[in-house]
Amino acid sequence: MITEQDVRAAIARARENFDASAVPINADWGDAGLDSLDQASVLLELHEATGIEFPEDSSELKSIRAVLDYAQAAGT
Amino acid sequence: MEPDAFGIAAIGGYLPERRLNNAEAAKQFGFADDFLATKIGTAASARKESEEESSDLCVKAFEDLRCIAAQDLENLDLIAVVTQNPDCHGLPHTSAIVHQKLGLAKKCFAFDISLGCSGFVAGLAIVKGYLYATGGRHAILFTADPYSKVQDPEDRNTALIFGDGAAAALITKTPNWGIGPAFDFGTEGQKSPALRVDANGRLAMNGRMVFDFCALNVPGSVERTLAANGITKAEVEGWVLHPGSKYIVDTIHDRLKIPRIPFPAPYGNTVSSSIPLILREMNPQKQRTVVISGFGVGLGWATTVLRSTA
Repeated sequence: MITEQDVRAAIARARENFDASAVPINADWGDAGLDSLDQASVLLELHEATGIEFPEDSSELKSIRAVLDYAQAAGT
Repeated sequence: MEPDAFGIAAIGGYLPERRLNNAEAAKQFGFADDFLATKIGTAASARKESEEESSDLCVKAFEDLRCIAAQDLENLDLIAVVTQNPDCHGLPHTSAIVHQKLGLAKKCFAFDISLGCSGFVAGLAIVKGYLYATGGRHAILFTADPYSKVQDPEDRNTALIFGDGAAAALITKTPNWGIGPAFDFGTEGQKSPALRVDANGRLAMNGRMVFDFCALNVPGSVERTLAANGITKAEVEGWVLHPGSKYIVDTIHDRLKIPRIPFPAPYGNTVSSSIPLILREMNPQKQRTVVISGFGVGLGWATTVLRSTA
């Protein structure tokens, strides 16, 4: 089970000196000041922690909410 | 464990003088102001002239090698060229064209090695094996893989990453750096589409797949290589992990729990030339034990250690 807090913690580890708590849950990564490499780090960390396989094309996982919805649908 | 008898005697290199300033392109792609500095590491990419062929880059690296090598380069048994962007669509092989341009002797065999970022490290093993099998004594391992031949300047995934360059490493039994002896190799062929040239002849990359592959596999490869060669991390005086981008190098250093280093390739990721071009700037008497690891296209990796013989 991935929680919102898990995703925010992963963002904080991926991006030093970045306030992960301030990212709106529905904001696109880019609008929140995060780039594709930050997203890759977050998804890799969540994969390693939970075993969930995120899709090769992660363009639909645009926000914290999208990641949580995907994880829930995947049964974690 | 002692390194193998064959090793690297000298390395020549060539980087085109022309540079592409990436700042403007980064802005057009909508990247944050600090993206180049903190994630890519390449402010200005080295670019060959359009008429320069891969074999020309090899010849220029050879000329540099000739200036610094302590021995005659005429008596070669083998030249091998690591490239996936050959002259003439690969037929004849680029190494044969280099052989012709350098006017080498008939007894010097020539072949190409089709590998990307792992190619230099893998090439060391291949060249050593050839010399052992044939009783040869001297070889040059060239690397020249100018991605500007296939790069799409409008592709935000790849346009800021790669640079053109070439290297020529002289392999002999009187080296400055001994090789290995142990290597660590691996391939995840099912992930090969993540870095490819597409049907339109353009480079295409799934950055997240490549990132995951590197972050998940390279630290383990380094650890296995160190153990197999009987070396501890504390003994390593140089870490040359293929500079695909600053972010991936930083990530692998973090996962290995070793200090980060300044990005060593500000002229861009020169694919199989990246490792020898960095080694060329190092002093085997000061950085006596060096880990080298190449990873990317394939997706595959190749890792070994170099140890000073001085």
